[in-house]
Order: sequence, then C-alpha cells, then structure tokens
Amino acid sequence: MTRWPASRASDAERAPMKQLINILGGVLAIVGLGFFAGVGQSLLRDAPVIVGVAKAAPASNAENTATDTQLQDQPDGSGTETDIETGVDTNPSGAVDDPDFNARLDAPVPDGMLTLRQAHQRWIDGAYFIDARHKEEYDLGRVSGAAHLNAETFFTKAGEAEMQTIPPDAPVVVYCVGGLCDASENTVALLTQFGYSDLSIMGVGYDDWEAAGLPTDSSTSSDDLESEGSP
Amino acid sequence: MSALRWAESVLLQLPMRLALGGAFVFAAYMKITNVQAFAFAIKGFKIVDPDKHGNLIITAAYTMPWVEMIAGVLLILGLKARAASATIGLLLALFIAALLYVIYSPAIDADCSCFGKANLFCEATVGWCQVNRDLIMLVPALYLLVRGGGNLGLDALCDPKNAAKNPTGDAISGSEPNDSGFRG
Repeated sequence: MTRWPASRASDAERAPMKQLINILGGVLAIVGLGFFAGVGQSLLRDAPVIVGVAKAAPASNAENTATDTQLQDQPDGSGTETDIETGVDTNPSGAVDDPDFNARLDAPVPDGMLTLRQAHQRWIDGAYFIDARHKEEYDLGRVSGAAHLNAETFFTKAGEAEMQTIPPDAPVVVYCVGGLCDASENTVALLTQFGYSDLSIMGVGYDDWEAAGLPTDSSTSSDDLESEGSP
Repeated sequence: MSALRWAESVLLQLPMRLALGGAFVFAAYMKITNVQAFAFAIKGFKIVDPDKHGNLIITAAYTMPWVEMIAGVLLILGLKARAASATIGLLLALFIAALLYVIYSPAIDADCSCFGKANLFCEATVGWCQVNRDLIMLVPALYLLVRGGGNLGLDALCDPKNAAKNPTGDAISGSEPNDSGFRG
C-alpha cells in the first residue's frame, strides 16, 4: 500500500504532460498524414474539384424570347405540348387568367434565374430539365421528363448515362428545392466544365412547380414518359 | 483487476472502437469517393466564402475525409488509440460547431453530407438530429481518449511494459495503464 501512492504521485507529476504531448503529437501526425493523402488523391483525379465558380449565364428577357422562338422549330416540342395542355387543364385553379395562378408563375426570383413562367415556357419549347435534388425527392416527384443529375451522381455511371441523353448545345434548365438551395448552381458549374452552353436555373423550386399544377412525373409512372415524352 | 481490465476491453473498449472507427471509415469512404460532392457540401454550410477562399474549401474537402479514414482505421486496429480517439473527438466537436452554425443561421439550408449521400438515422438536411448523433459518438470517443484502446488492440501488443504494469495500475486510476511507455 505504501508503494502505490508514492509511485502514483511521481507518475502524476510527469505523466499528464507527457501524455498530452503524446496525444497531441499523434493527432498532428494523423492530420498531417490525412493532408498528404488528400494531396495525393488530388493528383490522381483528372477533373479538378470546383467551388464558387461564376454564376450561370444570366437569362435576360431578350435572350429568352430569342431562344424561345428558335426552340419552337424543334420537332420534339410537339410531343410535350400535348402533355402540358392536359397538365394545365387538370389544374384545379382553372383558367390561366386566375390572378393566383399568375402570381405563382411570376413569383420573384433571384437575378439571372428563370421565373416559373419562363421555365414553363422553356418546358413547352422542349428544353431539357435537370433535377438537382436528392434521389429520393426526385423519385417522389419531378418536373415531367426531367433528368436527375447533381453533384452526388455527377461522376457516377448513372450521372454519365443522364448526361448522354442531353446534347451539350441544347437548352437546359436546372432546378432544385428553391430558395437558397445551391444544388442548381453547383450542377450548372459542373455542366459548364463539360461544354454545356445554354444553361439556366429555375429560380423557384420544385414545390412551386407542383403547386402551380404544372406537369410532373413520379418514379412509379415515369418509365413510359421518360422514353417517349421527354424532350 | 486484470479480469476487470479484460472485461472492460471486451465489453466496452473493443465494441466502441469497432463502432466508432467503423462509422468514421464508412463516412470517410463515402466522401473520398466523391470529393466534388463533399466540396459542395462544405460550400453549402456557408462558413467560408467560396468566391474568395475556395481553395480552403477544396483543401478541406480533400483532407478531412482522409483524416477521418486514418483515425478510424487506427481506432479499429487499436493502434495509437488515444490519439485516434482524440482526433475523432476534435472532428466531432468541429462538426457540431458547424452544424450549430447552420442551425442558428435561418438563411442557410444545407445538407449535412456527414456520410456522403448515405443518411444514417437522420435526414439529409442539417438539423438537431445530426447534432445528437455527433454528441452520441462523442461519448465513446471521450471514453477511449481517457481509458485507451484496451487490451485487444495493437497498442497492448506493442507495449509489454504497460501490460506488465496492469495488475497495479488498474486499481488506481484510469490513466494509469498508459502512464509508462505510452505510445499515443
């Protein structure tokens, strides 16, 4: 019994400091190793990681009308037009003159993004839509014919397959949950790297699209729509 | 005493190490395989201005998963278990601070991306659930930091002096088994 307190005291004098230094040294070693591993990984990657790149090309109204008229010549547009008509007809809010409905369509959006009305017009004109939300949300409901592509899926096989379906010079509209969701901007930044030029962001989210009664898909009924109805 | 230490090692330290280390290795793997998504997730937290300091975000996106990975593997192996659990504890504290920052900034609606695209127990969007999950993980991290990795790890193998001292060391204080020849 006499030995224990004595040895304990002598240990206690020097041990805590030594332990602390040992642990801190270990922590620093782990962080340093992690840093070098990250550097190594960055050398192995072929595509650079990007953040904070330039915003999507601002969609001024003059440009919009120009692209819109140009788009109407596209043969694919006809198939979707019928879809949209049924979509609006079943809209419970009734006629398009409904002020409530118009307010929804013209809801303010951040600079350089599409209002719901502009996005809808592009949808009618056959623009490609990209859903940048989570896969689960996409499966539950999406803009009719939209592809699923976000940062999570971008470099995966599924993402590549989705990108194959969209020609780089085609008009593309990207949307996410609206508000301050970054996913659209991020996806646009990634698509820009791959040569996509006509990219725009829908300033409102999917919920606004759905609430306005515009046409949507869900995964249960989407298969036929994706194959034939998508622009 | 020795039996107690063995019981602790088998019943507490080993399961804690496997669970905590496993969780971190899994989280790290999910992030390492998609650095771009993790970089966007860090950007989404809006702690760093991506236009001015985007390089910081990219460095963090490359480094943090590897730190998690190394700490997780070391913890599972029981090698330098205390340093590994200290690293994990610091990471968890960092995560909790970042989560609280997002929760208390109503303008920010970020995805956690804690386990990449997988969502364990919590939804993707940042909320109190993630804070609680991190706090729960902090408990074994702190326990292992104080008590070490136990007898069933490489630390014990590498440290015969420590093993010899166990019969006396155990009864007195928690930190005693690591006093001499402590290796991390």
